[in-house]
Amino acid sequence: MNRKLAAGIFLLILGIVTGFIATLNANQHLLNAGIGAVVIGTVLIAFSFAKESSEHLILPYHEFLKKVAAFMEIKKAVYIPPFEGFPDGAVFLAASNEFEIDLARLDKGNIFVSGREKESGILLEAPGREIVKKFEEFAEVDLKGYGTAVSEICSSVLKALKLARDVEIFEDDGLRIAIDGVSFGFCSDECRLIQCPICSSVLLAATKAIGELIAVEEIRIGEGIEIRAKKLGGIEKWM
Amino acid sequence: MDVEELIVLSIAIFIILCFIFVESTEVFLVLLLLCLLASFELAGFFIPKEAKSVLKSMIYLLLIAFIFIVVKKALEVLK
Repeated sequence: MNRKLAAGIFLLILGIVTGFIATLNANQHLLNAGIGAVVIGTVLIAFSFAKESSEHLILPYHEFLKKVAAFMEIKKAVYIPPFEGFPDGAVFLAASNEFEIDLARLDKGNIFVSGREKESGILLEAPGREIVKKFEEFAEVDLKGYGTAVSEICSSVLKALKLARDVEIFEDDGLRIAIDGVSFGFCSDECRLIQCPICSSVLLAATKAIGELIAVEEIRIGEGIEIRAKKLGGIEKWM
Repeated sequence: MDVEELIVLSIAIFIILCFIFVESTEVFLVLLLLCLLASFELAGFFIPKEAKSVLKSMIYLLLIAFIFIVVKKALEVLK
């Protein structure tokens, strides 16, 4: 709960109690205090629910990428850890569910990857790469080989940046990533193909820390965001 | 301090001043209505959509109270 909301609720309760006592004692001045506290509390609560302005900046780009993905009939998003030519990692939007990626063929200047249907798609530098740099800046370590413990770094930095409240990464045969309290309100199940910078940063950090390519299988929106991903093996396997 | 905080602070200062100088609840409610209307008109651009809807509801509530006060006063004068 943020401070604005807490202060708002406190003032609202204080105002109601004061107003009630004032009505019982027929004290007009105290009643004014109660009404005033209720109004200030309500204004504070109203402002605490306001969306962050960053959402208004991100949304048009996110929508644009979604339209491009729909036009290209993208089927899957694959996060790739740093490799030659892509020091910050990349995301490959595959046009087929049975995709094949030849990392040796990928070129930074070539966004649209053509070839057989299995090989075609879009190659992007992940939208969350700048946030991943913040993760590394905060932890003062390279995330390579950090494993699922990277969730604690993600959690701390995203919380400090007021972008999300908590991040947890569970590893079994696949990956389950839970992100709570995301500041963007436009998250939906459709984000399976195109992720916002927050989810993208966590996925990119995970792929870098685990050292394997990750395919996003499913995104569920409930109280928080739950991402199910599949591990696809290391860079060497796809070279 | 950002614009949103300034808006909340201005409303709070106005309400506190009203509380100090005004005794009557009726006058206090009318002043609250004026305060919210002025804030809405002057700083509406900086108020986020979600907060605007809550502020509007409060303005409608205070408007209803204002109508009651006016009707009550009119009836008093007529009597």
